[in-house]
Parts: sequence; structure tokens; C-alpha cells
Amino acid sequence: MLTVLLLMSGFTPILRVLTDPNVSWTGFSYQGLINKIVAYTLADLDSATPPAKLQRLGDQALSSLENAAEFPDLREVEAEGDARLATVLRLFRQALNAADASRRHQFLRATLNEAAYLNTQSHDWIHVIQAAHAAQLVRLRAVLLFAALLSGVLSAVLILRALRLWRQQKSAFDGQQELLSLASHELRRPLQALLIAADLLPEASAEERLRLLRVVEENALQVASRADLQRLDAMYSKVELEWEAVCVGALLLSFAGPRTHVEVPAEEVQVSADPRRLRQVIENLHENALRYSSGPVTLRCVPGDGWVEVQVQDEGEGIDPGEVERLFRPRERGRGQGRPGEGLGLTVARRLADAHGAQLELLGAPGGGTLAVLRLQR
Amino acid sequence: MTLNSGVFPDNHGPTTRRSRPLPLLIAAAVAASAIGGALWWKGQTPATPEFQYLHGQLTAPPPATGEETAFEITGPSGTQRFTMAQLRAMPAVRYTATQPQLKRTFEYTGVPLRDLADRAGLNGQDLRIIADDDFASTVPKGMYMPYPTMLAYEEDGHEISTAHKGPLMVVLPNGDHPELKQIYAQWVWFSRSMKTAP
Repeated sequence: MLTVLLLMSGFTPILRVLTDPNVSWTGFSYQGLINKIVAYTLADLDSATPPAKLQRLGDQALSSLENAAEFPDLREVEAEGDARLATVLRLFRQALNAADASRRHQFLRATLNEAAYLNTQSHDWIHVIQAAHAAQLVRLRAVLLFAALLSGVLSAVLILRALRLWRQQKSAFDGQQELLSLASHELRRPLQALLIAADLLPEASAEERLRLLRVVEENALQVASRADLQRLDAMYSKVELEWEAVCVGALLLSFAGPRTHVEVPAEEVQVSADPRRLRQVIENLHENALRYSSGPVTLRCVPGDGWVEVQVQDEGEGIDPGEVERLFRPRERGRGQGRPGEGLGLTVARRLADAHGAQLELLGAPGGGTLAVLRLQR
Repeated sequence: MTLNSGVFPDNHGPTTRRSRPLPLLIAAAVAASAIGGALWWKGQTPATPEFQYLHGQLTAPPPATGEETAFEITGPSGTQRFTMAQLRAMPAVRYTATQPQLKRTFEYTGVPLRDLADRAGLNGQDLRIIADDDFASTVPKGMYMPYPTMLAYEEDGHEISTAHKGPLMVVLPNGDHPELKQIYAQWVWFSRSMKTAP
């Protein structure tokens, strides 16, 4: 719309100028005047010309000479030099009224000269008009260029805007996808535990049933807390924690198993944390240690001055120190990629640790293997 | 955050309906140019309305010996010559028009160019009209078929003087048809002959 308006406003003046016959004239009347005087002069020189014809040609020349309205822009044309239409008329009348042929020819020559000068002046005036037209065209070109530039810039802006919107949508979509992946990754473990416990329950002894029921209860709680898809953001992106005093020793001992050895100090070590989220961190570190090594895994609680470290150590291949940061990113996995896994465990662990204000690092263990260290503030 | 809130706008919702004005605008522009083009095309084909004649064909006196030829028409069947009396005997039209070079308004009487072209078998062609001072101008068919454009021999009831560009001059009905007001070059003064345009 803007471009159309611009083009219209650019074209209108030049169009008006070029279609106005009063402006875009050819100066034919000035040339035609010379033709009429020449025709009369030639007829006059030819003795065979009938007097009636000579009279007619003279009248035709006078019809133009006496009608100044026939000459467009006469004032401007006369301003271009000394020649005047009135002078042409006066000289022509003197020629018509001359006493003898020699005087007549003298006046006719003077008439022709004056008419020719007037014609030259009309050409000068045409050049002035042409220059004005050229200036209009130059302006038109500027308007066209500007319009082209404007439409180019506008379309570029529109394309960029569409591209930006698309990117925003895509990143929002990707973010959502990632949160969903994290959530499903974190649901898998308690669900597996529930399935196994349910399998074992029918054939378990009374004492084992009690233990299995505790496992069922605990994992059901975990499933419930992790299945809230409405709160994905609060769980994995902008993590919201429910702070409590957590006994680290008891938490670690619940991981004890055939391949898992737990070392905790004799005294009770407490930290302030969200027990479910802290459990998720340790679950992920523990699971990784079990998956990427075949030997024993040690969980250790090391209290210090103002901090408590939870260490998870395996005797696997270890990790390349240069790779550590990469492993914390989603979908990035280390050596031993043939094993099942989605590469999300460390991402979840790091996010939840960060939310606690805790540091999580992967180090090479003394004697090979990997040592994951989670340092919590007391 | 639910899956369908904001971040994932429902593509089948009313948002897409709101973008309809653009195709509508384009359709309107196409329709408008089609109608405009049709009107323009219609304007290109000259209609041939009935003219209001002052009188029909009168009996012309036979040309007297030595009577001058006033106008010549060259058509496919040869050249026809007309004396002033013969022209005056032909069906005539009369109307008021403003002579653009004299810038004065007169009531002109004359023979419609359409009738003259008809006589010479030039009807519907662009005409070349040549003046006594060797000026020549083309009168396109669109300028004489639908309009009573005439070869005038009378101005305000008397002969047209040489000073008023007579005795014969092409006159366009610019009084009744304002669209002819900007046309100057077809007012051929001192008209002497007519043929088909080159």
C-alpha cells in the first residue's frame, strides 16, 4: 500500500506535465508561420501565380500573424530573445503594401529573418521545457528507487520477523520436549522398582513382604511426585524445592545392594535439602556407576567443615577429564555408548544439584574408575 | 504449563481466519482490473450513433464551368472532387464548438466526416486530412465515427474567412463532448483533401 502511494505520488506530476498539451508542445505553430511566409514569397517570385492564390496565401499567413492565441507560450518564447511576433506582422504588412517589387522582396526577407529568429527562440523554450521534464524524470527515478528500497526493507523485516517467531516457537517446543524426556527418564526407575516388588510379593516371606511393601510405598511416592506433568518446569527447569532436614547416612544406606557398598560415618550427618530431589541426584549417579562399570560401586558420606560430600565411585573405565562438561549436557554420552540409556541422568543430577546450591563434579578415581562428588552445604 | 497454552497455539483456531483479508483484497483487485479492462476495451471500439441533421441531401447545382474544386477525397475507387455548392447540398450538422487556436466559440455548420468517408469507401479507417498550407493531420476513426466531427464551411451563419481558418476546416464537437477539449492537432484549417491515413 505504501509503495503504491509512493509510486502514485511520484508519477502524478510527470504524468500531468507530459499529458498537458499546453506544456508538452512541439512549437509547430512557429515553424508553420515560416512555412506560410515562405509559401507566399515563392508564389510572389513566380510570375505565373494567379493573383487570387497570392491573395489567399497572404491571408493565410495573416490569419496566423494576427492571432497571437495560436502561438503557445508566446510571452516565454519572446523572452528568449529579441524577435517579436508583432515585428513579423509589421514587416509582412509592409511587404504587402510595398510600392514596388524590390521593396516588397526586401521586406519579405526581413519578415522571414524575424520569423526564423522567433522560431529559434521557440526551440530555446522547448529546451527549457525539456530540462523541466528531465528534472521530473530524475525525481521519478528517485521515488522509484526509494519505493523499491522500501519494499525490499519491509519484506526483509517481515521475513526476519517470521523467522524469529519460528525460532521462538521451535525453542519453546524443544524445551518442552526436553522436559518431557527428563520426566520420563526419571519415572522409569521407580516404576521398575514397583514392578519388581509386585513380582516378588506373592512368593516372599512375611518379613520380606514388609520390606517390599516399604519399597512399594516409597517408590509409589516417588512416582506420584514425578508424574505431575503440569509442573515439569518446576521439577526440571526452574526447580522448586521443599526443604527439610535430611539424614544423608540413612539415604545412602537405602541404596545398599549386591554390587553397592555404602560407607557412612558412625554419627548422624544431616543436611538441609529436598529429600526426594536429593534422592534423584544420588539415584542417577548410582545408576550411571552401575551401568558403566561391572565391578563394585561405593557410596560414601564424607562430612567436612560446613559441607557434606556424597561420593559415588566405580571401578570402570573412567572418564576423560576433557569430556566432563560435555557429559552434563542433555543427550551427551561418554564411552560405552553401546549400553542402554538416554544420556539424561547427569543432566537431571546437575540441575537438581544446582537448585540445592550444591556442586557436582566427575573426577578420575584413584586406582581407575570414576568418582562423582556431590558437595552439599550443611 | 499445559501443552496447548500459548507456546503451541492451536493452528485450527480463529487466528488463521483473521488472515483472510489479503486474499480478499487480491480478488477484489483482480475483479476491478477485469472490469476496468472490459470498459477500456469497450471504449476502444467506436460506436456509430445517429447524428442530428440540420437537413438531408439537397439538390446541388451542377458545377459551373471553371468553378473551383473545394475538397478532394481519394478512396479505393479513385478521387472524388467536390465544389463548395456540392458540399453545402450534403446532409449537414450544426453545433457550437470552441476553436482552440482562435480561442473563440462559434456555431459551425458542415458535413460529418463520417458521411464523407462513407462516400469514398473510407468509413471506419483513420483519415489523413491535408491543408492548403501543406499541414496534414490524422483523424483516427475513434474521433469521427462516434462524434459528429465535421468539415465545416459555415461559422455563425456565414462563410469562414481565411483569417478564421476557412473556407473549410475540421471541427470537433468539443462543446458537447468535454473529452475532446484537449485535442488540437485534428482541427485542420484550410482543409483541401482527404485520404486514408498512412
